[in-house]
Amino acid sequence: MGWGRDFYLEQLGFMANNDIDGLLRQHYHEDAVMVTFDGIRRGHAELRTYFEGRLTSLGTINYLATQYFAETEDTIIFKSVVRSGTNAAEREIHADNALVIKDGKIWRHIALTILPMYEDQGLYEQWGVIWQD
Amino acid sequence: MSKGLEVFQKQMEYIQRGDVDGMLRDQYTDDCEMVTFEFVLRGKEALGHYLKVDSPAKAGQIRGFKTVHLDATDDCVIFVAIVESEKLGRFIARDAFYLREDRIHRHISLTLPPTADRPLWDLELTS
Repeated sequence: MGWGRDFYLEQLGFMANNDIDGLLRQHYHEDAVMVTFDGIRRGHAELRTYFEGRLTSLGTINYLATQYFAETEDTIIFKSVVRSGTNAAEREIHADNALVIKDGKIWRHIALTILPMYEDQGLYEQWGVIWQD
Repeated sequence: MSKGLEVFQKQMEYIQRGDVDGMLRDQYTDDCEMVTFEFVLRGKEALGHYLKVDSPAKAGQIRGFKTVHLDATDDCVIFVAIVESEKLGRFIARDAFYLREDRIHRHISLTLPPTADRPLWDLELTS
């Protein structure tokens, strides 16, 4: 493990401390883009809104485990499990992410995480079968 | 239609035709990389060997492919698909393309072997 692991741990630290200013200033290009299945966020202002909402909705994080991790000179990929909320209403999210790095900062934040809200919209049927032998 | 979606649709056409050489020639940059949890491949030659030799040996014939989530910008494509393969059975492909000059510069795969991945019902019911 090299620079990518340190960068990733620093990323988690910013989020754990709710330090969105530091996160954006030190880890994201001003015109960084986050691409997810629940929306595209472009630039610091939209990313700030996203992180503020995300950290609020997560609430208290009880558990975070990074199950898979790999890095190259300009890419970091990881899978982690996050459990948050109260014991009575604890939620578990499987976060599947990739970070494309440029000049030491995140240029593209790619999230393949499927949020429960999307599972309810029937997208499995909507996209259909591209081919089936 | 975004550039990313155009690249994704072309990628599916190449895969359906089994045209790996054409796909590498037209869809990937010369200094492309495939980044996975198991390995990193650099350049078209390494990708070609993986797609023509290693991947078929491991998975066998791909019998079905269903894209269940897809989104794209002009330089990124993200998708989740259910793949039916001869040797591995059914597994979930979680992939992304980062494009440069309308070609795949980084092919990022978060796909796990079926034995290591969470079960399909988990994907459908939770996250």
